[in-house]
Amino acid sequence: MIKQIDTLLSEARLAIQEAKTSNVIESIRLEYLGRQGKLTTLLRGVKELPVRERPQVGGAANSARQEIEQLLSDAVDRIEGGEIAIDTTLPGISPETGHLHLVTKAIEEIAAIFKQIGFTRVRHPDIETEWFPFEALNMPADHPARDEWETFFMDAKPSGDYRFMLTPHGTSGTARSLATLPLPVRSINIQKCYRRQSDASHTPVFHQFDGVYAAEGVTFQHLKGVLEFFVKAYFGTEREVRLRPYHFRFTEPSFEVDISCGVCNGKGCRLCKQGWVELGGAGMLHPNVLKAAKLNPKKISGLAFGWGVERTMLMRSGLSIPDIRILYENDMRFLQQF
Amino acid sequence: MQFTLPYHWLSDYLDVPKDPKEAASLLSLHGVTIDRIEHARYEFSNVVVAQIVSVEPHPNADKLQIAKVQTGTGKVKTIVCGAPNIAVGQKVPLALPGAVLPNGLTIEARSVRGVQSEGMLCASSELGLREHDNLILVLHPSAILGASIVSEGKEEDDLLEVEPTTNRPDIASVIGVARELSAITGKPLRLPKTARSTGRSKLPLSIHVQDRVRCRRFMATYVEGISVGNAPLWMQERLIRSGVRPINTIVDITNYVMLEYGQPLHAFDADKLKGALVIRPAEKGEKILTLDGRTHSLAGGELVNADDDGPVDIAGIMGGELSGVTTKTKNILFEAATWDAVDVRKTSRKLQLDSDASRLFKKGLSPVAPEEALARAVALCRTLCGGDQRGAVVDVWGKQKQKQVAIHFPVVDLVRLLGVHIPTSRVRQLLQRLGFGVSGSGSVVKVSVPYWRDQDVVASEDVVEEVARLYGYHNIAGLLPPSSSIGRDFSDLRFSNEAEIKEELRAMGFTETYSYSLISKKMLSALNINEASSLRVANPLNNDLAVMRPSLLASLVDVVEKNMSAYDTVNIFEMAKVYVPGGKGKEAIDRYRTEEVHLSGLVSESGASTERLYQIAKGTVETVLRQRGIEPSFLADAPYPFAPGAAVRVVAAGKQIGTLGILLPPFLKALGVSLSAAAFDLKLDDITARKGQMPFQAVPKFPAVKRDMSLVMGGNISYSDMVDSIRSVSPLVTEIELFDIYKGDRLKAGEYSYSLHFTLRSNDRTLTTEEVAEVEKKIEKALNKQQIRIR
Repeated sequence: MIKQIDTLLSEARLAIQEAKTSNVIESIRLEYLGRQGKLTTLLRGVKELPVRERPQVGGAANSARQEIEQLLSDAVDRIEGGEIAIDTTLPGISPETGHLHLVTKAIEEIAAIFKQIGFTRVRHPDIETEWFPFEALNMPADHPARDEWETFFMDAKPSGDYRFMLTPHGTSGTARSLATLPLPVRSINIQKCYRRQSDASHTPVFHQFDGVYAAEGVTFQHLKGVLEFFVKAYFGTEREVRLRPYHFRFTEPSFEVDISCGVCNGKGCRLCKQGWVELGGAGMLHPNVLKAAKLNPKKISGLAFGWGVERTMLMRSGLSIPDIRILYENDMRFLQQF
Repeated sequence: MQFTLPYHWLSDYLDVPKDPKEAASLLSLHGVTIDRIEHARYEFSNVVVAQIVSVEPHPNADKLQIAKVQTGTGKVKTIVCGAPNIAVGQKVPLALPGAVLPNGLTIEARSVRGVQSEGMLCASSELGLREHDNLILVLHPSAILGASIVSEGKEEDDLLEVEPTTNRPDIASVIGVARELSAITGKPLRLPKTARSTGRSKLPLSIHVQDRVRCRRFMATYVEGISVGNAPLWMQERLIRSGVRPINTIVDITNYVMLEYGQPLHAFDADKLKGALVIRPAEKGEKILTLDGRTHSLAGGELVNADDDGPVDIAGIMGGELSGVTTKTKNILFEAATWDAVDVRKTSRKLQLDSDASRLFKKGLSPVAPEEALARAVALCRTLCGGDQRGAVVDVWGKQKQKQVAIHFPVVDLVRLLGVHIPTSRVRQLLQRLGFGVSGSGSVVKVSVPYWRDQDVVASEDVVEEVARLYGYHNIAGLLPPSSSIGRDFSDLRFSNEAEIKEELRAMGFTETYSYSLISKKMLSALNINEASSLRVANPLNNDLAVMRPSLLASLVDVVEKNMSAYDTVNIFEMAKVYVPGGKGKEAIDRYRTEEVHLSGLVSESGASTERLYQIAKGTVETVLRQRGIEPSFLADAPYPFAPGAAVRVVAAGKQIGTLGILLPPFLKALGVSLSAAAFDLKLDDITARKGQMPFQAVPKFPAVKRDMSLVMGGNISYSDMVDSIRSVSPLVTEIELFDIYKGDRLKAGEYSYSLHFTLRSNDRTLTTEEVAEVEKKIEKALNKQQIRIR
């Protein structure tokens, strides 16, 4: 019997050594010291033994029980004290999630920034007649300004004097907002735009975000404030903004908005123009644009701006994508990086 | 329209900042965008002006000559020369020993075929001034003997790349930029003095302007007795650095003045003009060989200058070769005119012909501009080519004379549009610095516009821009508009629902794609849609972008095709507009087309059963709709490109909103995909327009009992019928979940086995084992009645 006790003790010692969790310790305790436990059962058998043998076996069994209890207690301390060892370089198991597209993330972020300053999000049509993209924006027929847009026209009979076309800029949405929404108009239109060009910095289908704010008392100060707010919120507070006088038919005064180059910090480098990078255009609505929307330019004034979503997104340092067309190739090896 | 401006040339007209970067920065800030600053320098050294005193053939070489030249020191040098155009009296560039040329060649005194040559006479190409010009550069007679050939110019210079906007052709000129810089810095302008001529007599050539609408003004001066050679190097230098090729003195003068003033000029060899010069529309079939070497056959109507033989110049665009000025020309007619901008644009497009001149005219120039430019050209001609003006200056105005533009400017417009108050005295100062006249001091002042801005500044808002840009936008602080108003409806619902749906799809393992909204005709026909019933582009960029897509499904299959070699599982979605012809509404545009937002997804897993693909598509749609508080129902049968027996129409909130199911293999094959795939296509506008309400369900009080069951059935009963019969047995059956479908060897042909977890629960008590056993027995009985057995 002493031999059995010894064997049990060796087994128990081994089992406890291997134990890594409290569950296992508990089951070892039950296995050896529980009501039906191996050692307990053995101890019960002691009273069947001849009286002479009882003290010796009883003593051995008890000391075995004490040792097992001590080892178990030490093991518990060990485990609770965090001394468990496994190979921690084993790879993680992560659930398979999908991915949202970079353009979606850019649009959400841009819309959220403008929502903070009260711009309601809208989404205007892609397919228009020449009215909203050109005529209502002070670009009458036969004006050279229309030539500069590389427009896609639809294969359909014109509606009166106006051909059907794909809008080359989100500013057609600005004209729509002015014509259809009640004053004060303050909306950010994010939509698809189309131009007949395709190269490393241009895709034929792309997105723009166009903002407009028209009401009594809107001034250049608001335009500057809105633009600075967006630039600093999107690009970071260390970036500088420059409003460079420019020319658009639908705004007067007009500007191009530049941001200090994120690569050379404004010193001038291969990628920028004298330390500045062009973001997009802006200006105060031209009186003819207000008139086209049946608003009185002597009472109402407005600010407007229109920038490319992809371009703005790519200009944030950290994403060095050399060819914009990759955004629309839908190679899963690209899409699943984000 | 880029304009390259050598900084040194600019400094002729005003004191400029020492650092061109400073000038560039000031100009950009106030209205003249400077893109870049390039650098230019001569790549040779030690080349001086020499004069040829004699020329003899080389005794030992047929093609060589021996020239003796002097450089003003009295000593004569012997130079061996291979070019055929040297002659006594010419001033030529002499590269002295030690001179380094752009090609890396260092000049040394050496013997050429037995004759010692003490230097080298240079051609333009050898100096890096002009390519392919291997004749010795004959310098202008005014070149200073012995001096470096570039002594009248600038060894090194900075070139400002100016980007004039379309409304500012005046900035595409040196003086135009000088005016701007003068207004910004306050430094006074120094313009060339040009005396206006006072000749009175008639010209030897009569000029008749027939079309006085498209020709807004025609001016001309006749100069006789000139000698034409090469322009002085300082002029060639400025032309070359501005991107213009020097030709001969007269042509160079017209280009020089155009760059200087922004007013194009033309010069005719007067002796080559036959009879009268008439400005008229061309007749059909008339031809002209223009200076660029192309012959144009005119359609009729294009405005031309013509002599008795036909067109000699396409008005505002390009002159004819035959009447062009050459080194043999003795008498010339200088022309400076203003042509109607829209007309020049039309003709330029029709003939596919453009030039520096047409690019300027197209933007609209002032008819006052020709005066100064013409006088300047004549003055330069007299200085550099000799000659005398003969007769009066021809000056014919078009039907509509240009009136001085005067604008009644309400000063209050400044504060109304800019937000800041600028005192009227400062407003006057700023406008005057820009060359505007300001009179009056009340609330409305009269602003008279200088001629170089009279096509662009025509109304009050234009004056605001002039004042503001010179004042400096950086001097006005930005303000945020008041951020909101009470009760304002932000109508954001559609967009927030769309964003949530996208996020749910992402969580379910789908990857979002963005394909072009234009597709190819091939993709359209794969969708079984007739070209005639599609929205086609009249001028597509290429075949892939020919029609507006009426469905997202073809684009999704195309994405699978691109990725299937690298991925076993492609689960993708796109949320975007589709475009179909026709529509409802008052406006023509709304009847021409309808744009609606769709959510489409595609499920493809290599090795997955058809049922599994279908179930994933169905589960995705159910999840998306239930998250919006909508319980969808499904109707059998689905349109192309779905397989009618393996797809359903989706009904939500009483409306049919889309389709889901297995895609037909021919559709997939037509787009290059041979895998199986399931898809879903939902119209979103109705779903996203509302806020989803999900009812609250009380958490169960009593424990549930979970059991598993495997059933075997034949193909005549649907899953939903089988589930219905289980549920009908007892209301205690709450959840039934299918976790396995088995079709295999252990079953008879045509049979399959479903494995289900099901849950029994009561709302008011804990169920006993007996109750549970009884329900199980009843379920088995009900299923057996339908020939379904439990395994």
